[in-house]
Amino acid sequence: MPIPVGVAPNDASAFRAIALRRIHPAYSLFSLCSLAFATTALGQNRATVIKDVTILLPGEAPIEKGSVVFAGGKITGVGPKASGNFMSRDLKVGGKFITPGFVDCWGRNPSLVTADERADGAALDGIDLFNAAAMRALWSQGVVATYVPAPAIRGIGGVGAVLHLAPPQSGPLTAPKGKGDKGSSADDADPLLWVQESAAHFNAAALGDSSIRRLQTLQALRSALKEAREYGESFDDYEDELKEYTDKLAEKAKKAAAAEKGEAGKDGAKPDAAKPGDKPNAGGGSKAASKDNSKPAASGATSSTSSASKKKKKAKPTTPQPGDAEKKKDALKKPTEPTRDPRKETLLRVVNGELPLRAAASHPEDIEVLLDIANEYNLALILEGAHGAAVIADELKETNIPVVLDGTMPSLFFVDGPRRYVRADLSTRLSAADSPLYFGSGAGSADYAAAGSFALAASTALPTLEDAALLKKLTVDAAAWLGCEKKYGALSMGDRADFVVWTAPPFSPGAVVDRVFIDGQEVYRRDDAGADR
Amino acid sequence: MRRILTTRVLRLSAACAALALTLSASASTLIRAKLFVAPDGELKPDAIVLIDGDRIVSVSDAAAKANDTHEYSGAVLCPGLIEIASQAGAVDDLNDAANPIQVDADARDALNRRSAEYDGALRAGITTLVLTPSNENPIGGSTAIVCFTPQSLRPVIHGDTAPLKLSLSPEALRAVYEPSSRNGLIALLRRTLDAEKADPKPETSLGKLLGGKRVGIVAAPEAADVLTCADLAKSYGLRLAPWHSSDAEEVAELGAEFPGVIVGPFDFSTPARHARSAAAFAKNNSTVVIAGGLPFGATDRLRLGAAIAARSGLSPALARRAITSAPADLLGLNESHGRLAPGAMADLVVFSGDPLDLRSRVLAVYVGGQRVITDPSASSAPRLAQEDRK
Repeated sequence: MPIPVGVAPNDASAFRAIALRRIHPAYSLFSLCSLAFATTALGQNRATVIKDVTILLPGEAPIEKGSVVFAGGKITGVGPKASGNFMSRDLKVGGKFITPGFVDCWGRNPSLVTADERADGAALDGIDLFNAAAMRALWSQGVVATYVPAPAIRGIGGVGAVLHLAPPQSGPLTAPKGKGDKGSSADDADPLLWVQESAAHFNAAALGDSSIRRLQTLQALRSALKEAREYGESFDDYEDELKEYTDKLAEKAKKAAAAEKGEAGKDGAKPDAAKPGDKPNAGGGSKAASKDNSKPAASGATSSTSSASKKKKKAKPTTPQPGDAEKKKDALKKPTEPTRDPRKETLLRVVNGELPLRAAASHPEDIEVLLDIANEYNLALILEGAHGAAVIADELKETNIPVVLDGTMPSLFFVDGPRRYVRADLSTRLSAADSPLYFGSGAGSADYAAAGSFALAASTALPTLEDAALLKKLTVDAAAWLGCEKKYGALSMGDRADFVVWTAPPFSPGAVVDRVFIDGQEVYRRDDAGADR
Repeated sequence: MRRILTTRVLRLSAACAALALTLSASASTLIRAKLFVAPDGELKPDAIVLIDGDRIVSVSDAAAKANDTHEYSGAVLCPGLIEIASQAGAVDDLNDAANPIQVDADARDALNRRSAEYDGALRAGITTLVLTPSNENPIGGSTAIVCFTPQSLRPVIHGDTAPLKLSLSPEALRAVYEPSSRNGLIALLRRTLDAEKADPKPETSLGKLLGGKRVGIVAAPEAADVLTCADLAKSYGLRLAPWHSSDAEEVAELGAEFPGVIVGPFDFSTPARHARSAAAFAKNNSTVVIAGGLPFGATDRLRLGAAIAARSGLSPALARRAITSAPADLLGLNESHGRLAPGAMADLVVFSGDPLDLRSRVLAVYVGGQRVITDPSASSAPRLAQEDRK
């Protein structure tokens, strides 16, 4: 359905009307000043219009001879009647077809991301901001946003991120505001980064791994998840013990206070000791005690409570007294906080369901084991590739486990790797099993893949989808699933002006990306010099 | 008596003629679809192909009639695809590590007729393959053109126009003996050609290459190798077809000097620069042929390569031509293969859509005028493999 006509944020038609009208000279001066002001304001947010193009919107019928209007980095009009204003600038583009940019659900561009083999690694740490050629290769395929994992050669990798492929900014990336952020403010959010922590990564096998090796890798995942769960439980136990400890301390202090009160009553002294409800070790400094209670110190740290009691002990005679053994028995021992382990912290979040686990697996048996593990630990599992899943598609029924397909095509030749397991009917079988399907360049991608590879690979992976449905899958559906901005990829009013100009409909033979716009800025032009490698 | 005999002979002749006519008529098939791939690679309407025996009789003749009509509504008829650089069924059997110059080697001797890879190729719409020696020998010997017979679907060697395979690739260099450098490799090639020139043996593969009767396919991975190809072709009057992708934009203007240039194979990991090679050569009026490299990579890599080339500047028509009529021309099969035209062999494929759209499926394959494969997706087990088990 066409989107209604939009107008630029500052409509200048009123100013133009005033300027053209014959009125008092004083008003003329005012009008001229107003016009100058409006021109300046409009200049900053001047609308750009691309006219007479076919607009292909996700899941909708093509809009013939339509226009796309954008200003200030946002779409201000899309449709057959969309137009700018008298200040608008018409942009002539080589292509005739406009689509929203693609969102890659499984980027594996090694030049863009190089993460170490470790669970506490993050894709974010490996992003090369200055690799313009890699960015250009992605734009040449019509990709404007991508999920980048932090994969290990095999086993547990790091945490992936979702990137908006705006032109590289200078300086380090900062976390976005919103869910999963680490306390950053909106001001320092970087336009490049959309989701800082998307999913932890697991690679079921490296190329050439034997069956035993693969089983070991999966067993290692099971063990690591078990350890992570135990790690989490150890902190739960610690919290319980700490609570018990503080309760006992409070009780003890209460008793001591009551005893002192009784003694003071006898001696006629003032009741200035700890009151009921006071934190333990009040005599040793309430500030320190409060800190100690709210955030347990790391291992090795001692509480001021114990130091206070030590001081008291020092004042007493050192020779053993009757009843010391009983006192020792009654003495409270502060629980020790378990040692922090960043690797287990990541997996603990996976076990707690806070972070999905993306598992790249091709062999049907590996996928079966992963399904078992996901069931056992109640994981939010996402399958990457799942090349051999066609033969076990029934097992995915009712699991609602999303599968990210890539463009791996079957081979005649017996080779190790994904191609060995993939079948032409993979997506059909998974669709029949109601698996949510997404697409990413994945295993077949390369540093500087040829233009158009993304659209071609997508049409290979999802051969039964017609153009409009395939476009929807690669834009709005992908963006929503990855947690990009609301409605991103729909190319509707108010959205980011991220779109691609094609020479032909994107899934037709010979279609080439002519230009790419991100936030209203042209970031890629096909005929630019200095081009792709 | 004589009259009676004459009458009987005449009757017998008439009966024979009628029988022959009946047999001939029963062998004719009319195939109808929406579009067909013309010899120039364009998609054209009126996809009506009349087959008689193993040959195409007419194309786009609305009045054509036959006993048997095969209707494929919405489909695209395409000549059987031609894979110009294959090692199907003969991987590791097409090189000789001990002897760099293999003038007498012939790839036909490496043909494994029972390999299921040929059946897989056929299901992908490939009806002609060229078994090509690897790049590890400066002269790897004769390639072999492999086609199929409709009766057994076994691969068979077709004719003797197969090109000679040469290599300028670093893969041809040896560690301890000649050739150990690019310089040495070219010197060895020149020496071999000079020797043949001094003592011509016109019937040998090298003699045919020097006599211009055969094409030489030259693995030329670097731009400098293409220059060397041009130099060798000029010096010895050879018809060489360089196989080069990586630096095509730098040497594209030389392309027109060759009878054809081979690019590929391409897949999703192909760098953009390599993928643009087809367009670069085509701009300089070269006949561009795309190689698929079967059986390595995807089964559909030939179509995939053409699709990638079409998205990298080559026109869709030339991309279709690069896997059908262009390789046929380079192989000297322009009269018989790679095109839907009267007189050509009736090897054709029915795709559900444009062959360059990778969503298009193979609906049927015809070899020698007979439909040998229908709806390959119905069975995942290769037909040959099933036969072999019997």
